Amino acid sequence: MAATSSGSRISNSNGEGGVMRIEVLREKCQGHARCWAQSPDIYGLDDEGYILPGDIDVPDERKRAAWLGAKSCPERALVIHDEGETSR
Amino acid sequence: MSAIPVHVPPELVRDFSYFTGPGMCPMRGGDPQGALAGLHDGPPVFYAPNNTYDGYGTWVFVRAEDQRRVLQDAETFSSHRRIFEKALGYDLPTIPLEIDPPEHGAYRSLLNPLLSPRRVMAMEAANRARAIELIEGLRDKGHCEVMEDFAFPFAVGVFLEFLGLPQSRRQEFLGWADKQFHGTPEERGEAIRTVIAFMGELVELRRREPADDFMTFVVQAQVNGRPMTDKEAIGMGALLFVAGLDTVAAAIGFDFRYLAEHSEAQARLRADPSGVTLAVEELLRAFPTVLMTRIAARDTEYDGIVIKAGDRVSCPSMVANRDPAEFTDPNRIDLSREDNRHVAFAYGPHRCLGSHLARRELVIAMEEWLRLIPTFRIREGTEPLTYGGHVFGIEDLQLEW
Ligand code: HEM
Ligand code: SF4
Repeated sequence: MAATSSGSRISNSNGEGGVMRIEVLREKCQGHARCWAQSPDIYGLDDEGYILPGDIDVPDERKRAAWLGAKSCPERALVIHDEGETSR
Repeated sequence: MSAIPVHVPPELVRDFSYFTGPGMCPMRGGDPQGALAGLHDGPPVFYAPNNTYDGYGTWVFVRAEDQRRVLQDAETFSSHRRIFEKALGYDLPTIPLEIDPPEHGAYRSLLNPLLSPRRVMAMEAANRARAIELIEGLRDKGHCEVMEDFAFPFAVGVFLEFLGLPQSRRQEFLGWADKQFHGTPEERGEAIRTVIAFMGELVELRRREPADDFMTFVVQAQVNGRPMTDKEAIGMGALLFVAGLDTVAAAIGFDFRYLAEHSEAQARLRADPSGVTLAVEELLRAFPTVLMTRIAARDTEYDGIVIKAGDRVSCPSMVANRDPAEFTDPNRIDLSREDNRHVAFAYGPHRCLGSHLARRELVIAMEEWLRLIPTFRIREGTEPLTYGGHVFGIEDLQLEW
């Protein structure tokens, strides 16, 4: 989408309300698929049922869905970066 | 039975057993999961000198965070427990349960797609039809014994379908399951040998006469660039039997028992069946049944506690699931609880392979039961039999409506 240069999508979080980013610790993922069950449009799974690699930028209107998905991961494999705060 | 090892400090030894402790022995109307919640008032790690069915001592890890660390660290904490060795007289590892990473990964990659969320959706219609048929068969009676009349037949039916075996074998499998899970030690050994022999024949049959089923897939598969051996295929088939029947049936039992004792919860779920998914998760949190056991692969230190190679480490899911550090008000059962990261299906690489199927079985069972059976309660004059042990269980669950 509107990623103008690498890095910019994270760094503008002190600006207009903040961009939420989900950091995916793929080596921690054990395929519980709870994130996907919660928010399938945000969290994609591969054919074995493990999360697709790569961090996820979340549009404002999907923040709550992304948050619920990340907070449902039993392995703590999804790290939420939002408004300068980090949690999992 | 086993002496307390010298490296265990006496102050960490507790008189504790999953088999004989308070609330753990078979008893009427008990609450074995609730009986362990009090462990959170004590030390986070302790040693129980006689805490397995065959008399071994184990460390017990109480906190969810610590269990996650243990179960995610398979290099230090091995799963190779030789669970069939005693019954068989030789070691036949169940696969992938008793295989450690990195070998574990090859088997998991092979099996994961067979039980992935997407694949499970494809089984949905047949499994639902099975549940409906069983429930309709007992609705007019006005009462039933849930485990024998519904939970086991349902779980075994799903299992036979998954294995590609005819439903006509259901009674036979029910018999083995009953002995394997609830028999005397001799009967259990006998049942394990029967299941192993059965899987051996199935492996042979599917090598000779391939079909479109699970065992054909397994015997034709390659692992690490070589064909699957018979022993491996048997270890996989036997594990599905051990892992996927009793667990599902027990979960259905604990779920229905809770609903029978809480008619207001039944009413709410009947009014809004979309609440069943969250309710099933909450009941998995409150009444999980599996103890994860690991064997230290090397000497290690855990927060200052010395654990020696060969020590058994127990991570009881029912205790982690009531950890106040991870669940608000953990002993309150809130069927609409969100953010429910329970460990009923374990953490780490051995996360239950069947978890997606199990979840759907539990949701289907509850949805159809609530839809087809009017308000139900524990049958007057009866109380279910509950117990702790290796897999927590419930029997003789009589309901009436
Ligand atoms: C409510 C029902 C179930 C519960 C609570 C449950 C729980 C568990 C737990 C806690 C483990 C991890 C054990 C450990 O790490 O020591 C596990 C592993 C396993 N379960 Fe389940 N299970 C259930 C249903 C099923 C079903 C229906 C199947 C098969 C279709 C299944 C197949 C397996 C397999 C194959 C493993 C071994 C995975 C591995 O080692 O990588 N389970 N289960
Ligand atoms: S919930 Fe966690 S472990 Fe499960 S698939 Fe998503 S990221 Fe992986």
